[in-house]
Amino acid sequence: MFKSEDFMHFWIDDDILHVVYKPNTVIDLKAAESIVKDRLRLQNGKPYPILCDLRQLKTVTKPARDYLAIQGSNMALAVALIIEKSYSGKLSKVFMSTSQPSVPTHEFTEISEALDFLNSYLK
Amino acid sequence: MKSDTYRKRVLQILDFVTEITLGNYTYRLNLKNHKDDLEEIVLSLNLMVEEIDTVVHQIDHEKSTEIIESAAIILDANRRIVSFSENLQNILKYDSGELIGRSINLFISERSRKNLFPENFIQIVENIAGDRTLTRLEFVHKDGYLWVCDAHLHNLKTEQDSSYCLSVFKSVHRNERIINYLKDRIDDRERYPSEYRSLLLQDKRKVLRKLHTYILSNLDTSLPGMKILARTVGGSQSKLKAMFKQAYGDTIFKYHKRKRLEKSAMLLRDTTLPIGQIAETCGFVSFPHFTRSFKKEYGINPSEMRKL
Repeated sequence: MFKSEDFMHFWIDDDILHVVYKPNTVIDLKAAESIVKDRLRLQNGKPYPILCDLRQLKTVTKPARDYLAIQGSNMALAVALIIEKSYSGKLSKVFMSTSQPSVPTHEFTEISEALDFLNSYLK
Repeated sequence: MKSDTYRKRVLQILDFVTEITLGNYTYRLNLKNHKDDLEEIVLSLNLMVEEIDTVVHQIDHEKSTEIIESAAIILDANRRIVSFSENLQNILKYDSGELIGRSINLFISERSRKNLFPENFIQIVENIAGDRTLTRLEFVHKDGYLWVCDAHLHNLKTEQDSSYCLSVFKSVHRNERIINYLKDRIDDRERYPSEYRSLLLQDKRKVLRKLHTYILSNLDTSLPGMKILARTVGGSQSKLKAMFKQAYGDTIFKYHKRKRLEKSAMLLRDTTLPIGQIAETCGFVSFPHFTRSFKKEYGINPSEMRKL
């Protein structure tokens, strides 16, 4: 049984949903499905801007990337990916250009800049 | 002075690049836990080979068929390999002598060892007898690559000690045209696709991606007519229709409807939003229209899906 807590921590703070992946996590399709399911349950029908910290993540497989780009955008107003330029930056670049998420998604190396971006989506 | 481990890793990466050059996209390199320059290269190579595999088989959709590669391994009570199906040698490149009598733990990744063969493994096998759930398993190829597959462990009934059968499955794409092309290359008759042709493929991919993104960004509304769609993404109406069907196996409008219904099913299952609001969010103009379409796709009403 896949549980999203095995891969990430998530919480809502100031109307922004924070997702932080645990160190050396590998996200495959089953893991991605459990993550989206638990996130939707937490949101309970309310769309949020999402801050997604990828810095500790090891990798995300291709089927999981495609799933997250489509289903992962449900109930998301916008997504800010927190990356390091050197490692997770490679992953997010490929994700953004080939899987093409369907809500506004940007990469940031500073959390403060990411929060500024997400705050612009709060009504 | 670079360490032996570093040099070994570099050689492994170079061998992996050769595999890709030879058209083998089924292996991945194992990622280590520390994130240095080499691991960044490994991550990029894994991402690259996944994308190449997708592009090759997506563009040549009608010529690529999906097949299931499977293998079986018989283990004794101590998890040592007693026998195995012949194709396992081709997949992992070990000689028969290197496999027989040795522990299965030597040929699978550390992560898989923890998942499939933990300390209380005997108890687990007994508990899962009859369970059809597959476990993700990472085999380690002789050159260190990972061959990731789904696995199931069966408890075999024998008169003597207990033994186990490990069945493994992997879905792969097989493309006769690529296999023939690679065969020709080995015969020293190199035939590269012309530059013009690869540019065409690249253009085709760009337009298709643009169209796909457009569809997914408009799941809350009906799509405009083909004429406007073609003008929005660029390209002729008939070519767009044909290319889309070739790549995604469905017509543009059917695909759009399927994605809207998938989104609604997900919202029904995982949120408590009113059904009427879900219908609206997924671009259905009337509630009866939504219920009818939903039942046609999933065989049950939206309210029944919510109760599941």
